[in-house]
Amino acid sequence: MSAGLAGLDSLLEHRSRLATCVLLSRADQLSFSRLRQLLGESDGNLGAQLRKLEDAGLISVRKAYQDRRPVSWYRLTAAGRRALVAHLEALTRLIAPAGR
Amino acid sequence: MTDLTRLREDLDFVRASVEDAPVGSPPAIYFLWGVLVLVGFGLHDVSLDSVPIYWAVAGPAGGLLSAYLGWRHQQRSGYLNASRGIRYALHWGALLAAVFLGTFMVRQRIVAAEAFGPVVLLLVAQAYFHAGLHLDGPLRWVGLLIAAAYLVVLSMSTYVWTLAGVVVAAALMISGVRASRGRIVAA
Repeated sequence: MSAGLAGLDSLLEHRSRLATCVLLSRADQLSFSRLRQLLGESDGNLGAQLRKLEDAGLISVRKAYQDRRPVSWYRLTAAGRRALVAHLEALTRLIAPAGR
Repeated sequence: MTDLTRLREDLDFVRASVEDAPVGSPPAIYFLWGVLVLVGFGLHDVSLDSVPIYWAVAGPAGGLLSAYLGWRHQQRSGYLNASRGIRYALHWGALLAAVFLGTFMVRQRIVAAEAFGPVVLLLVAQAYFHAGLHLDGPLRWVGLLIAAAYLVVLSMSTYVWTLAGVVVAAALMISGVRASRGRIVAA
């Protein structure tokens, strides 16, 4: 149990931040609107969670325009991918014994 | 954080989000190929000589247009996934390559020219069915319909290609309508 806890990333313990990183690991880029739709979060809350991930260097953002409207595209960084893998491995170690 | 129940709930939340994430093909691609198939199959009955030329142009052009429509759809859906696009391109590119390579059998008279049409139909049926399994679910039954059209082509004598084209085009159009109903508005 403690070995699992030792590997957990406190930033990814929040489910929206974890889900964001998992979603971004399966796509090249996701827009803010798409993330909001998938996660069912409010603009303000999602924006705050994304900023935390961005400040920690786990995701990067690209601003673009589409049909004259601003769109923010998010991508998982290499550091973010490493952190996500380590966190998921720690979660697996934590949960696996309970499932037996 | 050691609360396993909360952990499981969080993971369920993540799983639900991930399951909703992928976007299907844009409806326009189904409509495009519905029209191309309708015209291309119908040509067999009215102008057999123009069939190879038609598909030599319409096949690659339709592929390129489909790639553009797919890219635009991903942009509008807020979900960019290059590897998915590459998988589509490889899948349909392999079909075009197989049909092209198959023409060598006709040129070398290993297969009679009149037999090549049904062979292509079988290849297309398999490609659509596999696309339904691995890329876009609705294409699975389009593949089955094309396989049925293949049997029709073998068993009838007049306007069989036109009839087969109508069936396949209708299947593609219906798939397009279904795709447009489940469409995601984003970005």
